[in-house]
Amino acid sequence: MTCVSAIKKITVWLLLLVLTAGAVLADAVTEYDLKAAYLLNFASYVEWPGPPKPLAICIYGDNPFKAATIASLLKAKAGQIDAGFKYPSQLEHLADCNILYLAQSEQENFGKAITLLHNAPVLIVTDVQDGLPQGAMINLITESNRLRFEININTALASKLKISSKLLKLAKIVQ
Amino acid sequence: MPDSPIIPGSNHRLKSRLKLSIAALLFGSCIRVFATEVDDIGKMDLEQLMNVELETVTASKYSQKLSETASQVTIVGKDQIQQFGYRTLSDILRTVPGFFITNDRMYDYVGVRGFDQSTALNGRMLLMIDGNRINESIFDSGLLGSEFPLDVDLIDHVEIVRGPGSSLYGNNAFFAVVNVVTKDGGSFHGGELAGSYGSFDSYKGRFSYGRKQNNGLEYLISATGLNADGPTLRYPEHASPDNPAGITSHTNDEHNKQFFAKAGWGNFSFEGGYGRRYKGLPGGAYGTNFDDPSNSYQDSEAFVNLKYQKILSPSLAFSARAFYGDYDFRGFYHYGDTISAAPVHTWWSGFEANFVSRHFDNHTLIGGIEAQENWLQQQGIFFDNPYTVFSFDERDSHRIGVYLQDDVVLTNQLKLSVGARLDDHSLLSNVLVSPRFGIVYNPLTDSTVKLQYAQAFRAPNVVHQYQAYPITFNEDGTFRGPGRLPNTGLHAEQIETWELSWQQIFDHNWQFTVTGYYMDMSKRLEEIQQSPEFRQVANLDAEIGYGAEFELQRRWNNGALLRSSYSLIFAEDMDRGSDGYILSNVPGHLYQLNLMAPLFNPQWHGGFDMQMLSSRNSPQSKTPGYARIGLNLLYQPITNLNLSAGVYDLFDDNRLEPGGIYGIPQEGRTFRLKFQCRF
Repeated sequence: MTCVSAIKKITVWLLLLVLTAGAVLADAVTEYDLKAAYLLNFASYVEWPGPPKPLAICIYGDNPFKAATIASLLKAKAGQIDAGFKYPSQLEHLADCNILYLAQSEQENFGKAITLLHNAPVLIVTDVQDGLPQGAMINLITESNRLRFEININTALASKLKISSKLLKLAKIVQ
Repeated sequence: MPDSPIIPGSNHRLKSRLKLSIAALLFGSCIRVFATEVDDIGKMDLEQLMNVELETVTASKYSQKLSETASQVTIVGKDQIQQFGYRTLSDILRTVPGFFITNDRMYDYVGVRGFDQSTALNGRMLLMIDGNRINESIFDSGLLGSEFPLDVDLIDHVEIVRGPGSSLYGNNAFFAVVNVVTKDGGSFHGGELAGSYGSFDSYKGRFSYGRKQNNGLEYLISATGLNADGPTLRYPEHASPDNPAGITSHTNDEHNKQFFAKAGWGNFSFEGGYGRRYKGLPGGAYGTNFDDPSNSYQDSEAFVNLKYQKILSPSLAFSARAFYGDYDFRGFYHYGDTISAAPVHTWWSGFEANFVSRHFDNHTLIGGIEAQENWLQQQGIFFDNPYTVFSFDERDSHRIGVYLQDDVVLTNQLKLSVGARLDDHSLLSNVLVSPRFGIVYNPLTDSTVKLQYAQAFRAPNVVHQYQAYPITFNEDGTFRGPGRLPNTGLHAEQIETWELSWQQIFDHNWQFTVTGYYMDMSKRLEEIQQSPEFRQVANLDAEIGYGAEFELQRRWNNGALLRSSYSLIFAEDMDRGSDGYILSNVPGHLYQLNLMAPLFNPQWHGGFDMQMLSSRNSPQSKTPGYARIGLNLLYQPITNLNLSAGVYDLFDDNRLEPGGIYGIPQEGRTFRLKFQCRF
């Protein structure tokens, strides 16, 4: 059989295959999709002081998350977690957050943000090297192709957050 | 010694296994093997999220994101292996951009960027299982087809790095590095039974058992058996009055066994495997009697890897491993009434220790040392009737390498990678230096530009250096064939490679990559006619290769995947005239398409793969191009049962590979039915 006649047959097969595939096609999971899911899920394991209200999950710095992912995650957890994502651009607004994600782009401002939030009830999460020594409570790390997290138990306890023991069990504890 | 075919027995065993497995299906739970989707992770709790796998590459000695390596990496995961119905490692490799597979009815060889490796026995490529070298220490060959010592069902994913890797791995990482990563015991949750039936009466069965215990111990054991009758082949050059078409059947049979075990506990991990393939030698190769079922050969390889990994501080990780390997080859060739035996045996052991340090800001430093002692490297050719030692050599050797690499984050957009490895081989006079330099530049979030320069080498093996045999004469005293001389002054062949690539993600999901490369080889090792009476391996002048690879990829939320690539290939031999000369059997064009998707509903999955290769010419022959298509249908009627049906080379188009006078006949269209169940 020649290549040309093969191509004709291939085209027909391809068309058939694509037509029968006919499912809704959307994004595959990336590292940051998974990190967004972590941020949202942390809300179930932490209690904030004061009356319950919708939680503010803040992204400070260059936003690495896809809007479509965030929307899809919020929708999936709608009954269980009452939260919204916010993107503050000024340091002063960070105290209004419940969960704060410090993006890699703001590594230089880590110190400032952490001093500002000293012992405030804000769960500070990041995903950089030495995230914990720099003052974050939770650092997202990759281990054997899976996303894991480490908790700085001292800074977490110093804040007025009630962190569930279940979360501590899942985390790598760093003293 | 060769096994005798036991096909009726296997058939019966398979049937009883099928019954057993259906009973087993009533228990247990299903393990999803398909890609995770964004909708999926929305529904997961933290514990489940922690088990979602991210795509990273470890062929760079430490886990690194694909977008951050300066090399061109392709990853083929278990979902693809299952949905495309890949039967061997060769089936996987033939879908990699710039790769094509040839077969001489003995072994599978992978051609990389136009360079066929059939004479190098895949020695211009480093093949590893979980970071442990599989290229043995006689021919440095890499076994890829059914001769590969691991069952493909046990593969978690395969990492294929195109381009050189000697700066980390030393010898043989010349054109490419292939690292086969095995599944963990924890991914099994109990037993798994698989069986398949395919063309030419091929029966294959596998039983595996693995789990992860609450105390952290994780283990996997697995055994595989295969029996195949093999195709009937036609060799026009062997036509005779008795056999006018040159047909041979029942001379290409295969009988394989594979065992694998793996365990991990805390910082320690162990794995070991053994694969043995006995195969009939069809087609009168090496001038043996044609259509004689007693011509056979057998390859066995064993490997053991014991590893210790420890994170010493937040910025320092240490790992050490000890390894052992054994390779045994037995060939039995019949020439008239004379039998020739060609036994080869080698075994080796060694250790490697390395560290990854992130102590200095923005630097990831990796350094290590690797040493290997080849305790025995034995090769021989014997004749009986009368008993003659035609060729024999036995020796031992060692090699030691040290490497250092620094991956530097200069700015958010710019990353640099600089490294080198020094290798000392006891059978070579000079130390080999393999430097590498890479840049990864992200001008925009969705664009990546990569530039890489590297040097790599392939050391002459003990066959190149020491195989020797005398001139042969016919019974009447006339000259029959040339002898062979050793050559202890051989140098390693070397390659310099430049690669420039641009990767663009558009519309969030489509990934387009174009790569240009230029490869300059010097001192290449080749057997030449040194004089009318003798052949010898020599270091010849340069070969160059250059070309471009265009890739388009997309993965969909529902597990669907598209991988498509076109390669434009040029290769020249600078030895045959100052203007360069087009090398033999180089395909100028290669197009590959892989498409898999759920069909009808999530229980059904379809895979379509195609490789189109343009014609290959040599002064002796012209091998026509082909379009080779595979179709595979996977059905999960209940959660822990998979049924699949596949057809390979659907249009029966890949009928000939270069070699001999009329080409080497191939299997053509074949099929396979397979079941797999968990309990």
